[in-house]
Amino acid sequence: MRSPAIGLTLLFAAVHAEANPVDGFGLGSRSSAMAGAVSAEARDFSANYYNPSALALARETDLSLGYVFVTQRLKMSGQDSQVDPVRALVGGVVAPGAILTLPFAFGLAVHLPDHRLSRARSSGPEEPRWVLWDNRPQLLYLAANLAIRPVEWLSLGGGVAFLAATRGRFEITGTAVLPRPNDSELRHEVDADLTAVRYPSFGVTVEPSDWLSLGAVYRDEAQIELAIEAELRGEVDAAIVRVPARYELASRTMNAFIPRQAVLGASARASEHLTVSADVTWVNWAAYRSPISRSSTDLDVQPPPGIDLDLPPNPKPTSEIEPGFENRLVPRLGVEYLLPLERRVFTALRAGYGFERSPVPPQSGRTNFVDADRHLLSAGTGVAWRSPGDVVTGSLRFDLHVLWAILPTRTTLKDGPANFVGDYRAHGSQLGVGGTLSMGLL
Amino acid sequence: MTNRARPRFRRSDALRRLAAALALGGCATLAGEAGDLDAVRPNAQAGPFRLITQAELATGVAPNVLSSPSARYREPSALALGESLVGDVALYAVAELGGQSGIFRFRAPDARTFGAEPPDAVLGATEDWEGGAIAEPEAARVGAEIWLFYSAAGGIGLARSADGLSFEKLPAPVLGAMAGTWEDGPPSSPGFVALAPGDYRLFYAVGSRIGEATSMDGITWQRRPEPALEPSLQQDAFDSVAVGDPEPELAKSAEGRSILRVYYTGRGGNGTSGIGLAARFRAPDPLARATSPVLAGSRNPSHPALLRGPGLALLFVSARAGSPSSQDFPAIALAVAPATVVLPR
Repeated sequence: MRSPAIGLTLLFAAVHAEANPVDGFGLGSRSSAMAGAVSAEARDFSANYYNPSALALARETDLSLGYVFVTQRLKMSGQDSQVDPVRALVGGVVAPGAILTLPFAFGLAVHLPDHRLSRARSSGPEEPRWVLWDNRPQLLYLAANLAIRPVEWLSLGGGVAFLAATRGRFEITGTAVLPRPNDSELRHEVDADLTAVRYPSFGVTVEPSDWLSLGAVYRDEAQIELAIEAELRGEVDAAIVRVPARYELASRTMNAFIPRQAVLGASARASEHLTVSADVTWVNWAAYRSPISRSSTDLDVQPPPGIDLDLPPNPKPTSEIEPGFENRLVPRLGVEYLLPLERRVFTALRAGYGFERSPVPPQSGRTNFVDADRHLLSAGTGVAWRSPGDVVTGSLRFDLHVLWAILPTRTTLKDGPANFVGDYRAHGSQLGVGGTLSMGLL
Repeated sequence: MTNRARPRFRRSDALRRLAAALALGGCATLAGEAGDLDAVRPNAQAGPFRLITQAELATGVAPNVLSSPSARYREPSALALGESLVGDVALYAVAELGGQSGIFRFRAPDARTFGAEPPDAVLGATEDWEGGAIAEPEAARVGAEIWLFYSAAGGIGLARSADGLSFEKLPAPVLGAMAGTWEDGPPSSPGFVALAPGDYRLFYAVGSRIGEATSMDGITWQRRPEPALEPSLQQDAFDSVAVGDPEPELAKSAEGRSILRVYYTGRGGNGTSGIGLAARFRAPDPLARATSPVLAGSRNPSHPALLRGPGLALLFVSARAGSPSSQDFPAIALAVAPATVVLPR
């Protein structure tokens, strides 16, 4: 007697990646300690993100390497949502120079997760999830920029930011023997590429006086889709009859979305030692596309006449639900106080605050995009040693920062009494620490 | 820190150091599964339900907790006898045992193993108005008594008991047929809920619709003039042909809002059935349907009976015993919500 067996072919193709972690947790300890209010004040590698034009203001080649760790304690109805932490090496370079007499600079910055290089997550429309914090910070971010300084008071810069994306194909072919799995003969093939999604950013820095600096930045939108297609083909061999079967699945999901942003900032040197900076960022959250997957399935089984098979019906294709996010203005404020310790050694004390009103509308209906307003408190310190020796000819700097984001309680009351998720509360906090070591090379 | 010293290039050394640092980071390991997949998420525990698996059942064939082609167990109503929801549970159900058809009580120490003790015959047809048969029991604890509503030819009857075994019937139906309304026959399928002491609701089926009545004593009932729930207007809905077998419960949302939920059997145009959910916050509001049935499938579940405890809900249903034609007889199956919960063995 032949064993019941099924011959199958499974085809799986996916495209997935995630969005920008720097939007949420900053880049570099100095800028992060000032809550990211540095569009008119960034002078190190973090200018690659905050304002590319500021690269042209650098006076020495600057190398930075650091690490950032952010733990997320986000809760729904009192239960920890176990949103993954963010851990990454950060670093970059600023290389100034000149083209004839035109000051010029090249910059590179990277946020390199040491936990995962990318993550894809798709969920049903009703599953509650911290939609802005589960996928979005988990990716490799790379930015490369050029900047010029055509006149003393004006710098222009721009470049491209790269997001990691993986594109893969997964295939299984062979025969699965149902009663004796060890007799199955299956062949697996994996073909995956690490690809990049690019989006531009531009910046302008204006320095009308010695004590005032103004910045404007534009960052474009990026969307990354997850597409899955799977096909199962084969025959159910049940000794007496062979039943051809085919199962197809198609799913598309907006896995990550980076909104378009425009930033205006100012930085004022209130005294020889004190700098105050402020930013306002317009975030185009209204363009946000739903992360809910649109999927369809088709099961086709053709039993021989007289064979009664009880098969489930094909589910209805799911459709995209408009998320209805709203545009937001995000204010940020940062201060830095420089304190000379001796002739060549300085220390700095920094602090910052930012407020992000949640762009997510009340989730009183079917969807459950969980989010809350966000108060970002930051602080940091640093020490700089100018001309410390022969190896480091410029300066040696070490900066530390801590950030604490408070997401106060947001209560969701469902309009529908028969909603399967029901009412809930969401709140949480994010605690991050980081350090950056920088070397200036003359 | 801001650095404003004059530039001097040693770019090759610098880039070598940066490349070394990036290579070091690139050697980091890739992650395993994301951590939030197992997180406990908000859930109203109203559904959807999943049928229990064989690993959750000590005896018998899952998801059936009572199954016999001769006994034809069906139309359950569940009552928790102990503190734990998965502890001592009594199931009142219709069966044909010992040549007798009527309502029997079954007990299980774990809410699933109902064969451990012999069943008790608790109620049979004795009154003229019952027409020789009773069905669709609905048991509820009211004060120190257990009330047992049931369907019969002349409407809905009520029997009361102090111990859950010996019941005393009221001589006449508490809800009989009423002409001149939307109801075109005697009511059946009683579903009882106490909103508060002396504030009772009885949902019932007439034809393809569900009605609602109110009472202060459980004996004298005042009908609402309009049906509480009618078949769905969507032609492809699972309940487009008929709704019935109401099973109401009073619940509270996580924010303390009172919700009256009514589970019901929905019947579709292709002869299938499933368990639906409709609910309302306040009494004048109409019942609003859930977006999908809470339990469906080829077993055609019907007659839902709910037991709710902290973090868990059990749903007993009448269902086809199995897929093969030899299993085409009614049985009582068990489902659980949230679907992620696994019942301890």
